[in-house]
Amino acid sequence: MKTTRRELLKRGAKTGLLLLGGTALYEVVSGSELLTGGAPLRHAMAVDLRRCLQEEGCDRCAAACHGAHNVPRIADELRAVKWIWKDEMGRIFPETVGRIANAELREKKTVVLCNHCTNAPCVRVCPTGATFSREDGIVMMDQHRCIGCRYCMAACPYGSRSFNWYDPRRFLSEDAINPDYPTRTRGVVEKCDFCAERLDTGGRPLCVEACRAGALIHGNLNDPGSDLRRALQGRFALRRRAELDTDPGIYYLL
Amino acid sequence: MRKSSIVLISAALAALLASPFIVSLLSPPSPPPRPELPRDVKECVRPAAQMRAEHMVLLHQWRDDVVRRGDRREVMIGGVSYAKSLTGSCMKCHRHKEKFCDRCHGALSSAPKCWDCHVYRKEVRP
Amino acid sequence: MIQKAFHGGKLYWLLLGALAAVAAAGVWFYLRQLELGLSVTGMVRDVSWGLYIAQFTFFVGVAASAVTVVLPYYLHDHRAFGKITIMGEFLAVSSVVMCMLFIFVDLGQPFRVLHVFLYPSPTSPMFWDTVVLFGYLVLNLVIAWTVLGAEYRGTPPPGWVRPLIYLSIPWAVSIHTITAFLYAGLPGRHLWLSAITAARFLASAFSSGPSLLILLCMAVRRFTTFDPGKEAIRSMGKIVAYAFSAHVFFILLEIFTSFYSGVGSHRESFVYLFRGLEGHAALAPALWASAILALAALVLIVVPKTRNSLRVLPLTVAMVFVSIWLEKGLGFVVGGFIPSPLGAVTEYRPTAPEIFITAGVWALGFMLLAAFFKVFITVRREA
Repeated sequence: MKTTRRELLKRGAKTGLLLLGGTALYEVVSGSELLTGGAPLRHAMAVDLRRCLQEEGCDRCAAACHGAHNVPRIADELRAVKWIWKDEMGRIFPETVGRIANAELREKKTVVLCNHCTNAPCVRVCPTGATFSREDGIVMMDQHRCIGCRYCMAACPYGSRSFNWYDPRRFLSEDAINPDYPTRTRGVVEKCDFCAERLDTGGRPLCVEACRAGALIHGNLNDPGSDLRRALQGRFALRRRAELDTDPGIYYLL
Repeated sequence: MRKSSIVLISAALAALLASPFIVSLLSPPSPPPRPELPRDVKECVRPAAQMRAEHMVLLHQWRDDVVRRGDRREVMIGGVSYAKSLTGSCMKCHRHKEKFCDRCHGALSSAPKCWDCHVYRKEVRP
Repeated sequence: MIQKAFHGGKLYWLLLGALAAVAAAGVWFYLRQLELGLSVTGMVRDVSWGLYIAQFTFFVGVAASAVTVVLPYYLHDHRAFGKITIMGEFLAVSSVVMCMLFIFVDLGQPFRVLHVFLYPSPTSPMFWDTVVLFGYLVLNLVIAWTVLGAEYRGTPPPGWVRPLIYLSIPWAVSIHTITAFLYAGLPGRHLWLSAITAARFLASAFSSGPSLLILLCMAVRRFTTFDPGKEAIRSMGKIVAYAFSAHVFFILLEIFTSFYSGVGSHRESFVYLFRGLEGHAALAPALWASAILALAALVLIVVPKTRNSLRVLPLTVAMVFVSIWLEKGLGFVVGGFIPSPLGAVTEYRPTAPEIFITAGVWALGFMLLAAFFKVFITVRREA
């Protein structure tokens, strides 16, 4: 345990310095844990509403995601755990779609998930660095570190985070568990991690793979030649609560 | 309270706190735990002595590489490539948690929380 | 000096016994919560903070309010407070301990609590809140114990304690300011996202804290041989009058901006709290009670005749305390979550285990306070 102790001392010393005003705030967090901005790779996604809204009642994306990531199926909707799910357009975009007269369009459903904000409030408030921004734009959770204070849930302006009020294993049948992906434990917060485990090895997010309508387009936002950029070209796109300047990475194509 | 009663109570408390240590010093040493090693594989990712002392350090390094730094490159050791993964690498050789992990950890009453989240399933292990 | 806490009459032990019984019930329910998770509480996905964090917020205010007796005594030489500054500091110590317990019982993974220090995160107000609360605890404990210890030995307090006392004054303001920053910096929670949240917190703290201290002084006058003095109690009444007027004023400011601007999202939480949304109005009775108590108490505390009457004052400050408890220790935190980011109106009702655990923390805090006051009163009597 030598390394850990040394690391702890180092961090302690750095905090000490900080308290004395000797170090700039951002230097205390080690470089790789901070988003640097202008990175060559910025993972992002577009939801093509023309395609998605047509598939009423379809939940292939959520089923694929929740199945592979061992998301517990909790009947108590108020304490449910969700990574990606469908909600009403009027509720997703209260300031635009929520105000149009056409009730049918307001109540149409499309997908919501973590927005993987560049300027993520959840990352800013986390007292242990359990939630952090990767340089490629993924807002990641380190489940080993989460103390379950739920400050991130108060901070997220999208309601994208879920807490494990229960032991999640109680809601996963033994044969339904994917042994290659960990479950979570009681008392930690979780959310979509953009399939970091797949993106890191050159794959695409599972929801994108599972969508038969081709409504979900993933790609590198900073690469003008990516599928995502081509999809965004020449079409209007909405982002959720853009006025908050969190810079969400999920675009909804009109 | 009188001084004498304070001293008496303190002494009793100290004796109570020290009792487990005294008992274990007086009782015969328990046999060392014998974790079962895999028969078909001879080399681990590090020498046995190092693994015995520092396996958690290695696991924490792997964990931080993968989860925090997104560094999933495999590690080459003795010509063999290993994914930085508890269930994907360690448990491929040390197939039985009960006969390996649990024997030492049980004997030492140390209960790491790995399996609260990471999935260990006997029936899927060959 | 600590041995003084172990000598007491029947009443003292009866009080400690009763509090210990409540605390034991709290511990029992906490063990259940440890086993079953936070599902035993009324908190849900959309209202993910409840009674625990609201009580934490409220008691940070009570802790900070020690400054309302320390500052007049040490900076303005207000002699009447000489008798009660130590009581104020002990109240601060007990309150900070309660705050820490409330945070602890709220954690989903309490055994990992030290991660806050193992992985310090300076961008998080929660990290800084932990730092300043610990500092405030140590400061007040050291100050109160040293000054009282000097009195016990019949010597003047050592010189080094003076700078610590001066430091404790801005430090008291810092703990509640940073607690307000927990809320005031979150985008998309419009009840909280307000520059005057910290000012509101300080105003409500400096009304609820001295109110509690007045009630404690009256109890001490009644049940012990120690008399904090009428002048001290009346001075605190004056502090409550100013602070509570500011508190009510600040709330009216929030209501003006939210409603006159016509911006719906700023208005919704207030509408929920006082009238309800989509037929859900569980907190409305509590918030109306708070408002009515506030207006009545405001009249009683501002009019000199009723403020200076030691018969009316306890009733008035009890109303102030309850009014702020309902507004800040319940409405502010819960109301900030409703409606949810996706526009859902989900109500929060604390469960029995949650209420017992909360009562348990209160009981532990008041046991500590009773022991501190016992030491203080005994030393004062013998000195």
